[in-house]
Amino acid sequence: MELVYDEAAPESKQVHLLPCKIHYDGASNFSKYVNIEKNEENEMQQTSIHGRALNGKHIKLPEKFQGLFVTKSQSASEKAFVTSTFESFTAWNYDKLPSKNDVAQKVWDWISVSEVLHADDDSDKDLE
Amino acid sequence: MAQILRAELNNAEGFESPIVNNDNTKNLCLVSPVPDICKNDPCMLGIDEAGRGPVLGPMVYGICYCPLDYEAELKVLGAVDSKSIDDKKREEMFGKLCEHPDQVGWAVEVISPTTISNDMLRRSKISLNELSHNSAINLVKRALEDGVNVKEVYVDTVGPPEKYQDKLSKIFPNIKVTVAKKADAIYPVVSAASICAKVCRDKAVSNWKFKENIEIVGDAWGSGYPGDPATKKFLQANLDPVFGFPQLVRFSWSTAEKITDEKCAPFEWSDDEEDGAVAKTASIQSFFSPANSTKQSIQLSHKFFTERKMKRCTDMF
Repeated sequence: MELVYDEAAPESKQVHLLPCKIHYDGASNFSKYVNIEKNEENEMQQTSIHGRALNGKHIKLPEKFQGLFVTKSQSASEKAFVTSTFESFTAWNYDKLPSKNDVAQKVWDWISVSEVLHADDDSDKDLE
Repeated sequence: MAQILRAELNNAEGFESPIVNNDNTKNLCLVSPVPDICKNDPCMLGIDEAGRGPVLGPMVYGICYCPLDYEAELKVLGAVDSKSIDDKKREEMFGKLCEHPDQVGWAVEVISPTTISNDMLRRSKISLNELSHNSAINLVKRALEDGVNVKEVYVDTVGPPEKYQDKLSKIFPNIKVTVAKKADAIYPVVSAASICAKVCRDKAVSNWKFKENIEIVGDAWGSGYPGDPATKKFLQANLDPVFGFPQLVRFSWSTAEKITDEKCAPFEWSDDEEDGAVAKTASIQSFFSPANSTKQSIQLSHKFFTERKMKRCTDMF
Protein backbone atom coordinates (compact mmCIF):
# COMPACT_ATOMS: atom_id res chain seq x y z
CA MET A 1 0.00 0.00 0.00
CA GLU A 2 1.43 3.33 -1.05
CA LEU A 3 0.52 6.39 0.95
CA VAL A 4 0.30 9.49 -1.17
CA TYR A 5 1.20 12.31 1.12
CA ASP A 6 0.52 15.79 -0.08
CA GLU A 7 2.31 18.45 1.97
CA ALA A 8 -0.51 20.80 1.10
CA ALA A 9 -3.17 18.61 2.67
CA PRO A 10 -5.24 21.02 4.75
CA GLU A 11 -4.98 20.94 8.50
CA SER A 12 -8.15 20.07 10.38
CA LYS A 13 -8.64 22.39 13.30
CA GLN A 14 -11.15 20.25 15.11
CA VAL A 15 -10.84 16.53 15.60
CA HIS A 16 -12.95 14.81 18.22
CA LEU A 17 -12.56 11.36 19.63
CA LEU A 18 -15.99 10.42 20.95
CA PRO A 19 -16.76 7.69 23.49
CA CYS A 20 -19.28 6.13 21.16
CA LYS A 21 -19.47 4.48 17.83
CA ILE A 22 -21.77 6.30 15.47
CA HIS A 23 -23.00 4.17 12.61
CA TYR A 24 -22.85 6.98 10.15
CA ASP A 25 -20.42 8.10 7.51
CA GLY A 26 -20.37 11.58 6.07
CA ALA A 27 -20.78 15.22 6.87
CA SER A 28 -22.75 16.15 9.96
CA ASN A 29 -24.01 19.23 11.76
CA PHE A 30 -21.49 18.78 14.56
CA SER A 31 -20.71 22.42 15.19
CA LYS A 32 -24.39 23.34 15.25
CA TYR A 33 -25.49 20.62 17.61
CA VAL A 34 -22.46 20.07 19.79
CA ASN A 35 -22.03 23.08 21.98
CA ILE A 36 -18.68 22.85 23.70
CA GLU A 37 -18.00 24.67 26.92
CA LYS A 38 -14.40 25.22 27.90
CA ASN A 39 -13.15 25.79 31.39
CA GLU A 40 -10.10 28.00 30.93
CA GLU A 41 -8.75 27.24 34.39
CA ASN A 42 -8.43 23.48 34.31
CA GLU A 43 -8.64 23.03 30.53
CA MET A 44 -11.58 20.68 30.87
CA GLN A 45 -14.31 20.74 28.28
CA GLN A 46 -17.92 19.79 28.57
CA THR A 47 -20.73 19.03 26.20
CA SER A 48 -23.84 16.95 25.76
CA ILE A 49 -24.56 14.58 22.90
CA HIS A 50 -27.81 12.65 22.71
CA GLY A 51 -28.46 13.81 26.27
CA ARG A 52 -25.23 12.29 27.62
CA ALA A 53 -22.82 14.43 29.59
CA LEU A 54 -19.38 14.30 28.02
CA ASN A 55 -16.12 15.53 29.54
CA GLY A 56 -13.28 16.34 27.22
CA LYS A 57 -9.68 17.38 27.09
CA HIS A 58 -7.66 18.87 24.29
CA ILE A 59 -4.66 16.70 23.52
CA LYS A 60 -1.68 17.78 21.46
CA LEU A 61 0.10 15.12 19.47
CA PRO A 62 3.69 14.59 20.56
CA GLU A 63 6.39 16.49 18.77
CA LYS A 64 7.43 15.12 15.40
CA PHE A 65 4.06 13.37 15.11
CA GLN A 66 1.21 14.29 12.87
CA GLY A 67 -2.30 12.95 12.58
CA LEU A 68 -3.47 11.96 9.12
CA PHE A 69 -6.84 11.41 7.54
CA VAL A 70 -6.38 8.87 4.84
CA THR A 71 -8.75 7.78 2.13
CA LYS A 72 -8.40 4.82 -0.14
CA SER A 73 -7.95 5.54 -3.79
CA GLN A 74 -10.98 4.71 -5.90
CA SER A 75 -9.01 3.74 -8.99
CA ALA A 76 -5.67 2.41 -7.86
CA SER A 77 -6.30 -0.09 -5.08
CA GLU A 78 -2.72 0.05 -3.86
CA LYS A 79 -2.82 3.76 -3.17
CA ALA A 80 -4.17 5.83 -0.31
CA PHE A 81 -4.33 9.59 -0.12
CA VAL A 82 -3.88 11.87 2.81
CA THR A 83 -6.86 14.20 2.72
CA SER A 84 -6.08 16.28 5.79
CA THR A 85 -3.83 16.41 8.82
CA PHE A 86 -4.14 17.31 12.48
CA GLU A 87 -1.81 18.30 15.29
CA SER A 88 -4.23 17.87 18.16
CA PHE A 89 -7.62 16.47 19.02
CA THR A 90 -10.19 16.51 21.80
CA ALA A 91 -10.68 13.24 23.64
CA TRP A 92 -14.13 12.82 25.20
CA ASN A 93 -15.25 10.60 28.05
CA TYR A 94 -18.81 9.65 28.79
CA ASP A 95 -19.59 11.21 32.19
CA LYS A 96 -16.03 10.88 33.48
CA LEU A 97 -13.42 13.57 33.94
CA PRO A 98 -10.41 13.10 31.70
CA SER A 99 -7.41 11.66 33.52
CA LYS A 100 -3.96 10.19 32.95
CA ASN A 101 -5.61 6.74 32.92
CA ASP A 102 -7.49 7.48 29.73
CA VAL A 103 -6.30 5.61 26.67
CA ALA A 104 -6.09 8.88 24.76
CA GLN A 105 -3.53 10.13 27.27
CA LYS A 106 -1.48 7.08 28.12
CA VAL A 107 -1.22 5.66 24.62
CA TRP A 108 1.68 8.07 24.03
CA ASP A 109 3.77 6.13 26.55
CA TRP A 110 4.45 3.81 23.69
CA ILE A 111 6.57 6.43 21.98
CA SER A 112 9.19 6.49 24.70
CA VAL A 113 9.04 2.72 25.12
CA SER A 114 9.43 2.23 21.41
CA GLU A 115 12.34 4.66 21.25
CA VAL A 116 14.18 2.60 23.83
CA LEU A 117 13.31 -0.67 22.12
CA HIS A 118 14.25 0.41 18.64
CA ALA A 119 17.05 2.86 19.24
CA ASP A 120 20.43 2.10 17.76
CA ASP A 121 22.39 1.37 20.84
CA ASP A 122 26.14 1.26 20.49
CA SER A 123 26.57 -0.96 23.50
CA ASP A 124 24.62 -3.73 21.67
CA LYS A 125 27.06 -3.53 18.80
CA ASP A 126 29.96 -3.94 21.14
CA LEU A 127 28.51 -7.21 22.38
CA GLU A 128 28.17 -8.52 18.86
CA MET B 1 -24.29 24.66 40.29
CA ALA B 2 -26.88 27.00 38.91
CA GLN B 3 -26.14 30.62 38.37
CA ILE B 4 -27.96 32.66 41.01
CA LEU B 5 -29.56 35.93 40.05
CA ARG B 6 -31.10 38.26 42.61
CA ALA B 7 -34.01 39.77 40.77
CA GLU B 8 -36.63 42.28 41.70
CA LEU B 9 -39.42 41.58 39.25
CA ASN B 10 -42.53 43.69 38.75
CA ASN B 11 -44.43 41.19 36.64
CA ALA B 12 -44.23 38.00 34.60
CA GLU B 13 -42.41 39.78 31.74
CA GLY B 14 -39.57 40.33 34.16
CA PHE B 15 -38.61 36.68 33.72
CA GLU B 16 -37.88 37.13 30.05
CA SER B 17 -34.60 38.99 30.11
CA PRO B 18 -32.75 36.86 32.69
CA ILE B 19 -34.01 33.71 31.00
CA VAL B 20 -33.03 34.83 27.51
CA ASN B 21 -29.62 36.00 28.73
CA ASN B 22 -28.93 32.72 30.48
CA ASP B 23 -27.20 29.87 28.68
CA ASN B 24 -30.29 27.72 28.39
CA THR B 25 -28.38 24.46 28.66
CA LYS B 26 -27.54 25.56 32.22
CA ASN B 27 -29.67 25.86 35.32
CA LEU B 28 -30.61 29.29 36.58
CA CYS B 29 -31.87 30.44 39.96
CA LEU B 30 -33.89 33.62 40.23
CA VAL B 31 -34.32 34.88 43.74
CA SER B 32 -36.46 37.78 44.92
CA PRO B 33 -35.26 40.15 47.62
CA VAL B 34 -36.20 38.92 51.11
CA PRO B 35 -38.88 41.12 52.72
CA ASP B 36 -37.61 42.42 56.09
CA ILE B 37 -40.70 41.13 57.86
CA CYS B 38 -39.86 37.59 56.71
CA LYS B 39 -36.55 37.78 58.53
CA ASN B 40 -38.32 38.43 61.83
CA ASP B 41 -41.81 36.99 61.79
CA PRO B 42 -42.27 33.23 61.53
CA CYS B 43 -42.96 32.31 57.91
CA MET B 44 -44.59 29.60 55.88
CA LEU B 45 -42.98 28.46 52.67
CA GLY B 46 -44.59 26.59 49.78
CA ILE B 47 -42.79 24.46 47.19
CA ASP B 48 -44.10 23.36 43.82
CA GLU B 49 -42.84 22.50 40.38
CA ALA B 50 -43.87 23.13 36.80
CA GLY B 51 -42.99 21.20 33.68
CA ARG B 52 -42.20 17.83 35.18
CA GLY B 53 -43.93 15.75 32.52
CA PRO B 54 -43.16 17.49 29.22
CA VAL B 55 -40.51 16.14 26.85
CA LEU B 56 -39.54 19.74 26.04
CA GLY B 57 -38.05 22.59 27.98
CA PRO B 58 -36.87 23.06 31.52
CA MET B 59 -38.51 21.88 34.71
CA VAL B 60 -38.95 24.81 37.08
CA TYR B 61 -39.01 24.55 40.85
CA GLY B 62 -40.55 27.41 42.76
CA ILE B 63 -40.80 28.49 46.37
CA CYS B 64 -42.90 31.27 47.79
CA TYR B 65 -42.99 32.44 51.40
CA CYS B 66 -44.73 34.96 53.62
CA PRO B 67 -45.39 35.53 57.34
CA LEU B 68 -47.75 32.92 58.84
CA ASP B 69 -50.49 35.46 59.40
CA TYR B 70 -50.35 36.62 55.79
CA GLU B 71 -51.85 33.38 54.44
CA ALA B 72 -55.38 34.78 54.29
CA GLU B 73 -54.10 37.76 52.27
CA LEU B 74 -52.42 35.43 49.81
CA LYS B 75 -55.75 33.77 49.22
CA VAL B 76 -57.35 37.15 48.61
CA LEU B 77 -54.60 37.96 46.11
CA GLY B 78 -55.83 34.91 44.23
CA ALA B 79 -53.38 32.17 45.13
CA VAL B 80 -55.26 29.22 43.74
CA ASP B 81 -54.08 26.03 42.11
CA SER B 82 -52.11 27.20 39.07
CA LYS B 83 -53.47 24.39 36.96
CA SER B 84 -57.03 25.60 37.46
CA ILE B 85 -56.39 28.99 35.86
CA ASP B 86 -55.25 30.02 32.39
CA ASP B 87 -51.87 31.51 31.44
CA LYS B 88 -53.13 35.08 31.48
CA LYS B 89 -54.70 34.78 34.90
CA ARG B 90 -51.55 33.16 36.21
CA GLU B 91 -49.36 35.99 34.97
CA GLU B 92 -51.75 38.46 36.55
CA MET B 93 -51.51 36.58 39.81
CA PHE B 94 -47.73 36.59 39.66
CA GLY B 95 -47.88 40.35 39.08
CA LYS B 96 -49.95 40.69 42.25
CA LEU B 97 -47.39 38.74 44.25
CA CYS B 98 -44.73 41.12 42.96
CA GLU B 99 -46.78 44.06 44.19
CA HIS B 100 -46.20 42.93 47.77
CA PRO B 101 -42.42 42.72 48.06
CA ASP B 102 -42.75 43.84 51.68
CA GLN B 103 -44.64 40.63 52.57
CA VAL B 104 -43.99 37.98 49.93
CA GLY B 105 -40.72 36.49 48.70
CA TRP B 106 -40.12 33.83 46.09
CA ALA B 107 -37.39 31.97 44.23
CA VAL B 108 -37.32 29.69 41.22
CA GLU B 109 -34.80 27.26 39.82
CA VAL B 110 -34.91 26.62 36.10
CA ILE B 111 -33.55 23.11 35.57
CA SER B 112 -32.46 22.92 31.97
CA PRO B 113 -33.51 20.05 29.71
CA THR B 114 -29.78 19.37 29.22
CA THR B 115 -29.30 18.95 32.98
CA ILE B 116 -32.33 16.67 33.15
CA SER B 117 -31.12 14.46 30.29
CA ASN B 118 -27.52 14.41 31.52
CA ASP B 119 -28.50 13.46 35.06
CA MET B 120 -30.99 10.81 34.00
CA LEU B 121 -28.43 9.32 31.60
CA ARG B 122 -25.40 9.40 33.88
CA ARG B 123 -23.33 6.27 34.55
CA SER B 124 -25.03 6.26 37.93
CA LYS B 125 -28.42 7.57 37.00
CA ILE B 126 -30.16 10.32 38.93
CA SER B 127 -33.92 9.89 38.83
CA LEU B 128 -36.24 12.78 38.13
CA ASN B 129 -37.58 12.41 41.69
CA GLU B 130 -34.13 12.80 43.15
CA LEU B 131 -33.42 15.75 40.90
CA SER B 132 -36.70 17.32 42.03
CA HIS B 133 -35.99 16.71 45.72
CA ASN B 134 -32.52 18.22 45.41
CA SER B 135 -33.84 21.34 43.74
CA ALA B 136 -36.54 21.81 46.38
CA ILE B 137 -34.08 21.24 49.21
CA ASN B 138 -31.57 23.70 47.79
CA LEU B 139 -34.21 26.38 47.35
CA VAL B 140 -35.25 26.05 51.00
CA LYS B 141 -31.62 26.02 52.14
CA ARG B 142 -30.95 29.21 50.22
CA ALA B 143 -34.01 30.90 51.72
CA LEU B 144 -32.73 29.98 55.19
CA GLU B 145 -29.25 31.27 54.33
CA ASP B 146 -30.84 34.50 53.15
CA GLY B 147 -32.35 34.88 56.59
CA VAL B 148 -35.95 33.87 56.00
CA ASN B 149 -37.45 32.74 59.31
CA VAL B 150 -39.06 29.58 57.93
CA LYS B 151 -41.22 27.72 60.44
CA GLU B 152 -43.52 25.72 58.18
CA VAL B 153 -42.94 24.17 54.77
CA TYR B 154 -45.70 22.87 52.50
CA VAL B 155 -44.85 20.72 49.52
CA ASP B 156 -46.74 19.15 46.69
CA THR B 157 -45.49 15.60 46.73
CA VAL B 158 -43.09 13.99 44.32
CA GLY B 159 -43.18 10.24 44.86
CA PRO B 160 -44.68 8.78 48.05
CA PRO B 161 -45.56 11.67 50.44
CA GLU B 162 -44.52 9.91 53.68
CA LYS B 163 -41.00 9.14 52.48
CA TYR B 164 -40.52 12.64 51.11
CA GLN B 165 -41.81 14.19 54.33
CA ASP B 166 -39.36 12.06 56.34
CA LYS B 167 -36.49 13.09 54.12
CA LEU B 168 -37.31 16.79 54.40
CA SER B 169 -37.94 16.64 58.17
CA LYS B 170 -34.52 15.11 58.69
CA ILE B 171 -32.82 17.81 56.63
CA PHE B 172 -34.81 20.62 58.26
CA PRO B 173 -35.38 19.42 61.85
CA ASN B 174 -36.55 22.82 63.11
CA ILE B 175 -39.23 23.23 60.48
CA LYS B 176 -42.69 21.71 60.43
CA VAL B 177 -42.86 19.97 57.08
CA THR B 178 -46.12 19.00 55.41
CA VAL B 179 -45.93 16.96 52.23
CA ALA B 180 -49.29 16.36 50.62
CA LYS B 181 -50.87 15.31 47.38
CA LYS B 182 -52.54 18.24 45.65
CA ALA B 183 -50.89 20.61 48.12
CA ASP B 184 -51.08 23.26 45.40
CA ALA B 185 -54.86 23.19 45.64
CA ILE B 186 -54.98 23.09 49.44
CA TYR B 187 -52.37 25.57 50.69
CA PRO B 188 -52.34 29.11 49.26
CA VAL B 189 -48.58 29.38 49.78
CA VAL B 190 -48.06 26.30 47.60
CA SER B 191 -50.48 27.70 45.02
CA ALA B 192 -48.33 30.84 45.00
CA ALA B 193 -45.14 28.78 44.57
CA SER B 194 -46.82 26.86 41.80
CA ILE B 195 -47.75 30.11 40.06
CA CYS B 196 -44.15 31.38 40.26
CA ALA B 197 -42.86 28.10 38.82
CA LYS B 198 -45.43 27.82 36.07
CA VAL B 199 -45.14 31.42 34.90
CA CYS B 200 -41.36 31.06 34.78
CA ARG B 201 -41.52 27.75 32.92
CA ASP B 202 -43.90 29.24 30.32
CA LYS B 203 -41.60 32.23 29.82
CA ALA B 204 -38.59 29.94 29.49
CA VAL B 205 -40.27 27.81 26.85
CA SER B 206 -41.85 30.61 24.85
CA ASN B 207 -38.59 32.60 24.81
CA TRP B 208 -36.37 29.63 23.99
CA LYS B 209 -33.39 30.59 21.84
CA PHE B 210 -32.04 27.67 19.90
CA LYS B 211 -28.27 27.48 20.30
CA GLU B 212 -28.23 25.12 17.39
CA ASN B 213 -29.04 28.01 15.11
CA ILE B 214 -31.57 25.84 13.34
CA GLU B 215 -34.68 26.72 11.44
CA ILE B 216 -37.57 25.33 13.41
CA VAL B 217 -40.07 23.63 11.20
CA GLY B 218 -43.54 24.58 12.30
CA ASP B 219 -43.96 27.44 14.72
CA ALA B 220 -45.50 25.58 17.62
CA TRP B 221 -44.62 22.59 19.71
CA GLY B 222 -47.83 22.52 21.67
CA SER B 223 -47.86 21.80 25.38
CA GLY B 224 -44.64 19.82 25.29
CA TYR B 225 -46.39 16.79 26.71
CA PRO B 226 -45.46 13.59 24.87
CA GLY B 227 -49.10 12.83 24.07
CA ASP B 228 -49.75 16.21 22.42
CA PRO B 229 -49.99 15.77 18.59
CA ALA B 230 -48.32 19.18 18.07
CA THR B 231 -45.39 18.12 20.26
CA LYS B 232 -45.08 14.82 18.42
CA LYS B 233 -45.09 16.63 15.10
CA PHE B 234 -42.41 19.04 16.31
CA LEU B 235 -40.16 16.18 17.41
CA GLN B 236 -40.50 14.38 14.11
CA ALA B 237 -39.97 17.52 12.03
CA ASN B 238 -36.90 18.85 13.85
CA LEU B 239 -34.68 15.84 13.91
CA ASP B 240 -31.04 15.85 12.89
CA PRO B 241 -30.07 12.52 11.26
CA VAL B 242 -27.04 12.26 13.56
CA PHE B 243 -27.42 14.43 16.64
CA GLY B 244 -31.15 14.09 17.05
CA PHE B 245 -32.85 16.94 18.81
CA PRO B 246 -31.93 20.46 19.82
CA GLN B 247 -31.15 20.94 23.53
CA LEU B 248 -34.75 22.01 24.14
CA VAL B 249 -35.68 18.33 24.11
CA ARG B 250 -35.18 15.93 27.02
CA PHE B 251 -33.34 13.06 25.37
CA SER B 252 -33.96 10.90 28.41
CA TRP B 253 -37.73 10.83 27.82
CA SER B 254 -38.80 7.54 26.29
CA THR B 255 -40.73 9.44 23.60
CA ALA B 256 -37.53 11.16 22.51
CA GLU B 257 -35.40 8.05 22.83
CA LYS B 258 -37.79 6.07 20.69
CA ILE B 259 -37.54 8.59 17.89
CA THR B 260 -33.73 8.82 17.98
CA ASP B 261 -33.48 5.03 18.10
CA GLU B 262 -35.71 4.67 15.09
CA LYS B 263 -34.61 7.56 12.93
CA CYS B 264 -31.10 8.67 13.84
CA ALA B 265 -27.78 7.08 13.05
CA PRO B 266 -27.30 4.43 15.74
CA PHE B 267 -25.01 5.42 18.65
CA GLU B 268 -23.15 2.76 20.59
CA TRP B 269 -21.88 4.16 23.88
CA SER B 270 -18.75 2.52 25.13
CA ASP B 271 -18.53 1.73 28.77
CA ASP B 272 -14.89 0.81 29.13
CA GLU B 273 -14.94 0.17 32.84
CA GLU B 274 -17.79 -2.30 32.63
CA ASP B 275 -16.21 -4.15 29.72
CA GLY B 276 -12.96 -4.36 31.64
CA ALA B 277 -14.62 -5.65 34.80
CA VAL B 278 -16.37 -8.44 32.93
CA ALA B 279 -13.21 -9.53 31.19
CA LYS B 280 -11.06 -9.54 34.32
CA THR B 281 -13.35 -11.27 36.78
CA ALA B 282 -13.29 -15.02 36.44
CA SER B 283 -16.40 -16.91 37.48
CA ILE B 284 -16.28 -18.60 40.87
CA GLN B 285 -16.77 -22.00 39.29
CA SER B 286 -13.62 -21.64 37.26
CA PHE B 287 -11.53 -21.79 40.44
CA PHE B 288 -12.94 -25.23 41.29
CA SER B 289 -12.56 -26.82 37.88
CA PRO B 290 -9.53 -28.94 37.04
CA ALA B 291 -6.88 -26.64 35.69
CA ASN B 292 -6.63 -28.16 32.25
CA SER B 293 -10.37 -28.21 31.63
CA THR B 294 -10.69 -24.44 31.68
CA LYS B 295 -9.84 -23.02 28.38
CA GLN B 296 -6.87 -20.78 28.79
CA SER B 297 -7.38 -17.68 26.77
CA ILE B 298 -4.31 -17.04 24.78
CA GLN B 299 -2.70 -13.78 25.72
CA LEU B 300 -2.16 -12.33 22.30
CA SER B 301 -0.75 -9.08 23.41
CA HIS B 302 1.04 -7.71 26.44
CA LYS B 303 -0.99 -5.83 29.05
CA PHE B 304 0.91 -2.69 28.12
CA PHE B 305 -0.80 -2.77 24.73
CA THR B 306 -4.24 -4.00 25.73
CA GLU B 307 -4.48 -1.31 28.40
CA ARG B 308 -3.73 1.27 25.77
CA LYS B 309 -6.01 -0.37 23.23
CA MET B 310 -3.07 -0.73 20.88
CA LYS B 311 -3.10 -3.33 18.17
CA ARG B 312 -0.51 -4.36 15.70
CA CYS B 313 -1.55 -2.91 12.40
CA THR B 314 -0.35 -4.39 9.16
CA ASP B 315 -3.11 -3.35 6.81
CA MET B 316 -4.23 0.18 6.56
CA PHE B 317 -7.77 -0.67 5.49
